[in-house]
Amino acid sequence: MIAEIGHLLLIGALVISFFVGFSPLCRFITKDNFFYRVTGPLNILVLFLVLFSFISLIYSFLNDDFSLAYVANNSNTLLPVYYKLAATWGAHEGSLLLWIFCLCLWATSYLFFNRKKDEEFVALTLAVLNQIICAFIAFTLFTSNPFERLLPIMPIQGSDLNPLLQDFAFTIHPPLLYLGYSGLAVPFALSIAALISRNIDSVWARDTRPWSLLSSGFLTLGIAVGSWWAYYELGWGGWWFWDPVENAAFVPWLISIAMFHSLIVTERRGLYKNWSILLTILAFAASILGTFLVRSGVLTSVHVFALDPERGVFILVIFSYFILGSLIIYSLMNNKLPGRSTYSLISREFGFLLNNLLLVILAISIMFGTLFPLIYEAIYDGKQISVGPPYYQVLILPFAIGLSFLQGIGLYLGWNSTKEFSFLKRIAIESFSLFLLICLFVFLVFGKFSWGSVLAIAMFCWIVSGNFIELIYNSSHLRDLKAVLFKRLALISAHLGMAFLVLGVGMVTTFSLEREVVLSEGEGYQLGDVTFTFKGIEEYKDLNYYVDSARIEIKRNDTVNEVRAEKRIYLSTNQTMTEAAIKPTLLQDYYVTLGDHLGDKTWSFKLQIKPFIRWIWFGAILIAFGTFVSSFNILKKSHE
Amino acid sequence: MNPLRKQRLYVVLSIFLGTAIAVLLVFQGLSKSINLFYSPSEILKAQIEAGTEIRVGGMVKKGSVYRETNSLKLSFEITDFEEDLVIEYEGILPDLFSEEAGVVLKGTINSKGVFVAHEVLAKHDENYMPPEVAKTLKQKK
Amino acid sequence: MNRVTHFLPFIFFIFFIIALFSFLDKDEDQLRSVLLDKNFPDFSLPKLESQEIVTGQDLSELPSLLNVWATWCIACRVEHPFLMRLKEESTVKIYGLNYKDQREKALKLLDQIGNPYEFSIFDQKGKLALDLGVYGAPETFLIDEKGVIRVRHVGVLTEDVWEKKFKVILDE
Repeated sequence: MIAEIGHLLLIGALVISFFVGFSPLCRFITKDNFFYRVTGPLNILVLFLVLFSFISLIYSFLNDDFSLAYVANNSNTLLPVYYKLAATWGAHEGSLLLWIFCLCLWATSYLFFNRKKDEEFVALTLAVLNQIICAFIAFTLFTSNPFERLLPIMPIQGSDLNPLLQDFAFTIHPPLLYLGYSGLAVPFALSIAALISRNIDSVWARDTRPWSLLSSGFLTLGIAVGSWWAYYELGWGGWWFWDPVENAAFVPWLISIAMFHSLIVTERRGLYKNWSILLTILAFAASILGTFLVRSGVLTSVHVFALDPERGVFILVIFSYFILGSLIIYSLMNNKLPGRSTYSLISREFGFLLNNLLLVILAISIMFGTLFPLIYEAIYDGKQISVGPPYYQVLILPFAIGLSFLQGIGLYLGWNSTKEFSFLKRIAIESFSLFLLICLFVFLVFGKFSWGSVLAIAMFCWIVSGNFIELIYNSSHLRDLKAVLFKRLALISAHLGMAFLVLGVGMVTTFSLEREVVLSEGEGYQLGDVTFTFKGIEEYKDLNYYVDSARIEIKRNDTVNEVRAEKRIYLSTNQTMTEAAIKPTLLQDYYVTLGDHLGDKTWSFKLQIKPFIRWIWFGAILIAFGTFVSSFNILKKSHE
Repeated sequence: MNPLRKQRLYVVLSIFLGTAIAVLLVFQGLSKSINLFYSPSEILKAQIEAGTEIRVGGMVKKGSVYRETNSLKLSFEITDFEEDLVIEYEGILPDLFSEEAGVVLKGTINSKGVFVAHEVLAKHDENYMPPEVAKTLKQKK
Repeated sequence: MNRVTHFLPFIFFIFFIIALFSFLDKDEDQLRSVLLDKNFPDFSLPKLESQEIVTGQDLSELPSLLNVWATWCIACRVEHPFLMRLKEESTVKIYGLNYKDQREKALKLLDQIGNPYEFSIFDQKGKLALDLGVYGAPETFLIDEKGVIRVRHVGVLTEDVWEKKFKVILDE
């Protein structure tokens, strides 16, 4: 009964969002302002319909209503309550509903912050957002309905959530990522509204920027949590695989960063208007394309759970409608954009241009690599290839260097042209002394060096000097310093986050140690500065799985820690899962994976040391924090 | 030159330069990391140079897995029901590796015609074969 | 000049979308063409109901259907009532292929909800399923009187699919 109500509510949301989506058209025909006024309240109604529909699905999960196919496929009576909740968005159908709910949230918060603004403009924006909501509700109802019943015969037991997904990080990873993905619809809708009403100016740029910042921040968090999840849950110590699904999130992230930087120039100088509009469209295109790649099964990936060509066709139709439609509007409406001021080669405008070029070209190249296997197969008639991580590594390094360089000096370039160059010398001195210090420290701790790590440290120091040390140096009084730091909190935090990210990635790729070894009980193995000793193994049964649990002692100088590496066999799906033992410290993680049983009390293990890995996620948190602070500042200012 | 023209020139030049560098990198990257996929019978026909990294896939033959005691070295055979291929591997196998299941391996052919794998890939969903394997096995029928 | 450049992104995306559509189509065709009109592969596997080994010769009453199912497969539950009806109403015999499953669980389930099959082949390792190129469960094959696979259907078998895909071939 509850599920039927949820189903009906969703159908209701479909109808109403369709009406909101086309109400500006009705206004255009009838000239009755009623059609503008009604969009706001109806939009809120859609939010509540979708919310209650989502709650009814959660209710079905919590009550083990296995007559729903979706529940039966993804839950089990043995599953702890917490994971039953998470299972709601653990697979395709529910995650789509979550996506739609996130989008409704965005639309409503946009409405909240702009309720006193120009009626026509707000109505147009809401209409575009509701068209998107409507399209995705239709997609859910027609190709992947979570409320479908398995009647008359229903299973008594569900088939369980994939054990990989029974995990804390996975309960928050999809909501964060989807907030980011769907948030990109707001700048898109604002662009379309601006194109139609023909007012693309600095006010538009200022109103658009917080939304692009917010979605960028959520994407950062979503990707970071996903990477953290892969790191400890997949059990083999990898934290980034260049998997199509990861790329599908990485590409919109890059474009969203380019977008809010470009919007700064549009706001301050009235430049790059076309480019900003195109970026909002491109970002939204990348976000739908991500969904397409994940859900259609055209690309094979460890993350793909649903393989269904029919869904692919539907998403592609949605994609064509929105992207081709918006580009048509762009080409027809956007040929007379006034306001061109000039700037010289060494200016802030040009710095932003380079930043955008680097980010977008990188994004397109990554997308190309992701799709290349398909292109190759089409050309060479079924010959199959894969594009591995080396492709992306070769690609990303020069772009990372370029972007780091720009980040260091960007703040000191002047609008229009740069007149003062003394900052260059100071930043060079500051970063070089910091560089020497860190190199010395790293050498003392690790006792070795490599090209990659030196490069990473150099980039780190350059960014830190430009965005932190130089700011301190420039402010002569303490009070002054406080004001500067507070005013620039968002910028400092985001750019420092980037510095930590670069350092973490550089160190972990060049300094990691790993060995696969065979150990009998009591035997030890020395790797780097620690000794791993296999102390013994126990078998027992937990709530919904069997466990082989190995005790491992990690001894470093005089500190001794004991950790457990496990292999779990899940009862209802008979799946094996590796649960790694991780001993985190500030500088490096010690990581043990239990391998195969080789003989009497002898097992194989994979031992790893991962330096600076935590700094990657710490950096991501700083970046997200920066984007949030910045968007709240802008929203507060424009609301006053 | 007037400033507007000059500015345009900079923009066009940097776009051109950026794209050129990207294309260069894309080619370099692809040449480094493209791994062709073969089935065991294709390998015999294709005459692959020793040392070229490729991927092969097939079904693990029943009873062919042989493990050295107290070491991580092991060998097994994969088949596409036409030809068999001997695989050598040193390391820990993924959770989903089992006899008569599909696998994809990354590695090189050595001079004896044995495939030395350095990576064993198995898909996470046990109900499905790795798609490349399913495809080749199907074509053999 | 400027007008034309504004259309460039649009034109680019048209090509892009056409390319994506072309990537999508292929799989479906390949699925159909690879197996059709070939002889049913040889096998020797135990029955689900007993340890007795069955081979290709035991699928004697042709034409017949071979239905791939398992207890973990929820969609199989959906098509089950239709299979039961088919058993009552049609002359075609239905054989089961129990795919990657546990024997006790499978037998218990058939006890509970009814058994539409003459017998089921117990394919725990998915060996025959592999030979058939089974994608997943459920899947249904139609084998004609010469032992040739004529129809393959991936997914739930419904009234509609039966009429359009299977009945047509049977009536020939």
